[in-house]
Amino acid sequence: MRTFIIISILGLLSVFESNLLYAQFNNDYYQGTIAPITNNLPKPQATQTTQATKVTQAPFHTEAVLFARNDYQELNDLAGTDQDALLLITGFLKKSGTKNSQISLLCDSPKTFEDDKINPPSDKLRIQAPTRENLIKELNRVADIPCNRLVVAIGCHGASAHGKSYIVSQGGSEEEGIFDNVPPNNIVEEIKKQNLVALDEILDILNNAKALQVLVLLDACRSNYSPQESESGRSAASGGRNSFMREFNDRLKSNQYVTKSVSGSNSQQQSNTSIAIITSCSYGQEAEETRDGNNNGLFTKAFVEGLGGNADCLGCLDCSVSLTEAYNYAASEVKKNSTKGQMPEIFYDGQDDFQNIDLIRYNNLADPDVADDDLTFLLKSAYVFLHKKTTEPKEFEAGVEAVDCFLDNVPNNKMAYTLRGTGHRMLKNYEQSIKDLSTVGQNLQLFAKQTDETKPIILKNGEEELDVNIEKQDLLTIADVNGNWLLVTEINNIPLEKQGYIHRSIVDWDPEAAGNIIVGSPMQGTRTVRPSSSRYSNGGMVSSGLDNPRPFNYVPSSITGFGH
Amino acid sequence: MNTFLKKEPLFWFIALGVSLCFFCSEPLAFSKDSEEYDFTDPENRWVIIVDTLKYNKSEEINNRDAYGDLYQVLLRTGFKPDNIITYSESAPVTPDFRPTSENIKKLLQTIQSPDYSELRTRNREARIRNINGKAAELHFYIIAQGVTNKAGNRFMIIPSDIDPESIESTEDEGLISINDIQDSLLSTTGDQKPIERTFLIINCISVRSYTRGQKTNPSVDNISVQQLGKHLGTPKSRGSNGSNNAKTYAFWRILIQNQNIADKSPDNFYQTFQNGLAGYADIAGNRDNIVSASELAAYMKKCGKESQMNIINNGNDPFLLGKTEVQPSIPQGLFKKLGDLYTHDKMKDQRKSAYDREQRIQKGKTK
Repeated sequence: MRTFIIISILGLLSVFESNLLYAQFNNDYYQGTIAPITNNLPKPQATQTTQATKVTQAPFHTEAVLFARNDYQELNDLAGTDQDALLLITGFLKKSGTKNSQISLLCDSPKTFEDDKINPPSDKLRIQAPTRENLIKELNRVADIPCNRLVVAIGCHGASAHGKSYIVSQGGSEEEGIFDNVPPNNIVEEIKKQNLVALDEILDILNNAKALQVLVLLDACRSNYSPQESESGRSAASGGRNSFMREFNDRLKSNQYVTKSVSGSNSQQQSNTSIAIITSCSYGQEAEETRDGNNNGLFTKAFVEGLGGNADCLGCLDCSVSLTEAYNYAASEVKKNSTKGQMPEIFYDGQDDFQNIDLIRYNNLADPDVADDDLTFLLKSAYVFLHKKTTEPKEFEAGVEAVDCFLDNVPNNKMAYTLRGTGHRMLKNYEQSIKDLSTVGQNLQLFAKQTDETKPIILKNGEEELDVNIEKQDLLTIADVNGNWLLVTEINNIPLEKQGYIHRSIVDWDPEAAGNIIVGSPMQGTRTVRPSSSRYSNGGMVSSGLDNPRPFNYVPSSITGFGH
Repeated sequence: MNTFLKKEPLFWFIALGVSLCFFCSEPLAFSKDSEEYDFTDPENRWVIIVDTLKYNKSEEINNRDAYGDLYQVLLRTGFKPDNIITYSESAPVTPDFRPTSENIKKLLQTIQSPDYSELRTRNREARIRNINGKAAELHFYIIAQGVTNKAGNRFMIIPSDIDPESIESTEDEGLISINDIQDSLLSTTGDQKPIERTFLIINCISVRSYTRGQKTNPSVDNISVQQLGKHLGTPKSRGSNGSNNAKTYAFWRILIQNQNIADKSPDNFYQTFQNGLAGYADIAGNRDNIVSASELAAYMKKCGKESQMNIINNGNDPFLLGKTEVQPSIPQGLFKKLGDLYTHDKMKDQRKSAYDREQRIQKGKTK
């Protein structure tokens, strides 16, 4: 009996030890370690070479303002914005080397942050009440700090009207039609009276920020609270057209590249600024929360989960999570889990490869340990051999074989499925890749490549060539394989009204192979989508702005400055 | 010895009497000290499944099938069909087995009663009986929509006869407190002994969605398994009849939060659970061909979303849930192939390790 107990205890120990790897999945990118973010600022354009110089010596300096309001007197309370802030602090800001003293937290649930591990006495968070005044004051303060990156994350009630989005800082009103009887010239006063803060007001402040990169994350509803607007099918932001990806376009397009100085520890540098805005939902939509009791924003949770490594695993698998990878992952997860067709949006200005900036960078993935059990050794080896920077086809094959064997022995492992799907993608076994990735609710996405500049990239449906304009590095969602033809259902995450096939020779998983280092994103072009597409059929809120549906196509290059 | 047996008919008489007592008189057999329970004996192991969901949507059928598979896996891992009691809307044997508020409350009271005569299985009336009228081992599965209040101190499941959308607060009559369920299983009232081993699995499924701009019922919320786990606490090891030196009772609890009951991804609770029970938990564990509760819990944690699971035990002996049906398999040559690719000098340890593993595989051993 004693022997049995001893064996059992030893067995238990070994179980928990061997499962440590799995328990820590998605922590520090599967046991890799966090690498310091270098100042991989956008590469200067040829004409600007003399103006921009990379900051290489100074440590990466991030400032952050997190706004998290749960407590509303006139509206129903929220429950999870503090949890969102916590996620962003632990899963994003701290991982990218931000100190607590550089984080300004406007929050009405300070108890959430009482843990000494999160908020130690030696490095306290700057916690204040989440009021309109404090928000404006803090934004002005951080805007004046020269730094590498400024992160502004907002989680609260939100609304939109007349093509503009607002957050409800306190009290406030979300009643429909609040702006309907307000004369346009008085709307600013009305906004203040309602304790709303217009996103434009925030962006006005951030526009003058001294930070080199400004990242705004908005996890709040943008439901349309102007029934008149809905009824008339009018959307002020788009001038009568669909408002998807429109609200901040003009503002960001006109944003000038301004040379700013950044003070580092050793030197003073000159460079340009860039701004990116990611909203949890599209104009007119509602931002949902998770249903696990934590009430995290669906978007924030997915965004941080992606930063934990999942986004890279489904992206380039190069040990760093870029802005685009993080957005793509979050958009994919939100679409999958939303019950109301929620679709995040991304807007950015800046230079050509701003979308490729690393939000988080990891050192090389953990190497297998000689003490690992066989299965753990297999899985870690798979990560090593499927890593983009170190692998060749035979290593890809070995990596896939290793994870294949792991799944034979440990079925239902989500990350292993993801890894195998990624591996098959690298081997161009797209059919198996689709199967694996769909098992974990993900899509196979490939980049369009243009081997001959004179020939357009076309989609076919039988003999018919579809009227869809695809540019190189566009991100294509592949749903099926038919011989050498791949069924495309989305371009840059936007569903196609009419699906078509693309030849496998003009797609690649690697954006570099697909042309150059620019990663495809929805901001490469703004398109119009028919209201019958799946995204717009849900709720009908966004489609209300469509008055002239037409076949899926790009808006010609009138909207530029977003990647091209 | 043979001579002795032939000459002593009295010995045969006594031996026959003892045998008859042993085989015919259950109370005599069950009066053994509880430490002598044979937990591999199917007679001592019982399962109660309370499944309050209504499977009336096509997308939920997948979950239903998985649940049926779970039943089959339970059978294969050693549970007797007669010892699996199911309260479900999908196939209630009689109205008494519908998972209504009244029936569930009655069930909880029955578990606390001196014997379990009210509990009837699918095919016949049967008493969960054992020493002192208690089951030696009881697995209690709950699959239900769950709600909590804003303060996070009342955790309730919704029986099948209550419309989740109609719930005003957690004080509503008819809701079942999860505290009460755990208390029932840990009951030590009167002269009774608690169940020797209790394995409680609560799968809370949330259906209420919230947004950041829409008015919702502010008084109820979805259950967070972290909050629930904290609230329920860790059951302390208790001695029988309050005695300090008596043996303690084992308790395992796994709380699951499924966001989407139609989720067909690998972290689907039932698929993962049945795979674990079928033996994969042991393969990922110590590979002794026995699936233990700790292995199953670790496996669930590994395959599911950690943030949606709360696993607790009170530090007692691990449950042995059943024999492993599947065996680990690593093909010969795979480790060699990996070793060959670890060409960099920095990876020479990994290379050697891979070759060592290959040799071990070829000798028929895995770790």
